Amino acid sequence: MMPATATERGAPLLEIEDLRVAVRGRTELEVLRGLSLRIWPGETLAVVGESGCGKSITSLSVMGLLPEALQQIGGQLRFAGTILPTGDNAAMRKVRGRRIGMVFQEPMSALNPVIRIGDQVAEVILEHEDISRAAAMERVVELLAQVGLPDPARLAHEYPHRLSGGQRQRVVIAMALACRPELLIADEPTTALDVTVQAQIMRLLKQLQKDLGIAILLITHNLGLVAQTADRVAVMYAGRAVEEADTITLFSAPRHPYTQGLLRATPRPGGRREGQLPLVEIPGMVPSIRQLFPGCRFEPRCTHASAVCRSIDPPSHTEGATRVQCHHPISTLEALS
Amino acid sequence: MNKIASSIAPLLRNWTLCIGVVLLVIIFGMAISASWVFPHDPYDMVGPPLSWPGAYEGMWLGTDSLGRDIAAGIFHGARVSLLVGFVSAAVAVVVGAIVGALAGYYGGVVDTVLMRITELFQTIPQFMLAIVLIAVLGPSIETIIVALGAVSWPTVARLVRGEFLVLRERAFVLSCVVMGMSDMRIIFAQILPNALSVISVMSTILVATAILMESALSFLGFGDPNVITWGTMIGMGRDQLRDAWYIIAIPGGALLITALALNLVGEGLNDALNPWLKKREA
Repeated sequence: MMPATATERGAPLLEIEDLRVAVRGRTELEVLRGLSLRIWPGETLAVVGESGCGKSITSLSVMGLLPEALQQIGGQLRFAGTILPTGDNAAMRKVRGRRIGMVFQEPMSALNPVIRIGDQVAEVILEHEDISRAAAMERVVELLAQVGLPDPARLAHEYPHRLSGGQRQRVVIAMALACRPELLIADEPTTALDVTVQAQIMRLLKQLQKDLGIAILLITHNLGLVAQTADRVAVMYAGRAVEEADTITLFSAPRHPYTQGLLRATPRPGGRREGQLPLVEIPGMVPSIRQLFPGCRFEPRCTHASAVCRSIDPPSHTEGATRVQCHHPISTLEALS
Repeated sequence: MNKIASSIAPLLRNWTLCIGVVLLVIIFGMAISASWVFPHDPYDMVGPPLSWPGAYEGMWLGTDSLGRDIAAGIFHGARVSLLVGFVSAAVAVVVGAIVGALAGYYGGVVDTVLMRITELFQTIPQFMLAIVLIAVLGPSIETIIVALGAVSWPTVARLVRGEFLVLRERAFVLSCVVMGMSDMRIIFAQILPNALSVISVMSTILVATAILMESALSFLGFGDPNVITWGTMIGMGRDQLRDAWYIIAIPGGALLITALALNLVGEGLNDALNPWLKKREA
């Protein structure tokens, strides 16, 4: 299936535009340096990047839950056509859970240990909707069944410690979906789980996406997971989306040297037999936010860098189906070879 | 039915809890049955003064210097002790939990202000503050409860704040925030239940302390003059300490057993509710 262009798809559900987040009181120390992302209704956008590139800060920004030490200093977040009031806690409360749901990495600690599963899920519904507890409990049992938990009526009366990690993550997903949000942010939803359970959880998320038509913002560093589940991918590096493309294009023809580096560092089964090069690491480290320099943040680690990379931060430009921030993007032919 | 039995079984093996509960039940029984067993006013003179326990039929704990039945005093005094102990501890727990929860959850300025107020109360000696409050408000059961509650909430506040500082960092709190839950709901419906085990252990000790403080107040003559309490009885018997020591020893023993029972319950609850301590036994 060829990816549709922006105009064909209509308005994006979530539009992050030139988002800038910096350390409170020291605005030159930027954690997000003009991040732009778009998610359309019903699609899965994967955000990948190494630790510390701002993936989680992005999701917290969308929820209006930036830590005290950080502040948004620029940019805009538009959700379903209106600007998200990220600074207004009371207004955001109506968005959280109801319109945007969130699933975290740690299913073990994401549930309250002293409250029964059913009551925990019911709390979410009762917080946002004006219905009776009995009606909420009925919905809870339906939800637990929907996320594939066996014997949901009995499970609703259990405490979290009686459940396995995978089952708890299903409960967390049920909670996130309790009020039928339009967008689900999944921040490393399977990292803490067994590989077999990971696959089950991802399949569940995709199934729910199909049934409910929700958009999923999948934050991960697992490229295998991205290849299997995402419709589009945004690669983040040092607080920016350096490349954004549909999954097939990105994996077959990466345009940014960083994306190419990431793919070369990912093992593929049977890769060596097919003549693939041994895994190549990207030299160096992500520059600290304290290191201020005018050029491209990837320049010190980049094999394609030139003089212009050192002096000018590359702007974002669109090439075919890809949006890339690089002075010397890898040509399609080169990438395919 | 089986489920209930299996959840009670480990509690029965917890002997500190069992003994404490049995003693408490007996004391509660005394308090409740006081009006039937001793229908007359415990201040009434019912026999010859200073008769030793067992010396007269029907006065098996003897009489004091004014011929009042000590057994009646013990039964009626149990009411006051338990009432004052439990109600003032409840006042302290409610006030302390609210202050501690808000301070621990919000941190920052809220925490600083609330904790300075708490420390203000803690720097004044508890007993002195209680006496001053009663002197100002006038001695009655209600003012004693208020005074004892007012001096014991800071301990609860500090404890609950400490619990909240740890609990608020747990992932489930963030997932509540992410679900759009209001602060009050997170504080009181989500975090507070996690602190309940610590609070319940604390409150048994608070009840015991309040009962002892009430007795001390009554002993010094700051108690409610209209009701008999164990402290009043000890206070009135101190002139006869040399020749009729039982007048002090009996209410004193009742106090000791009550405080002991409450401490045993607290200890037992701690073992039952605190999973980390279980490993110590193994």
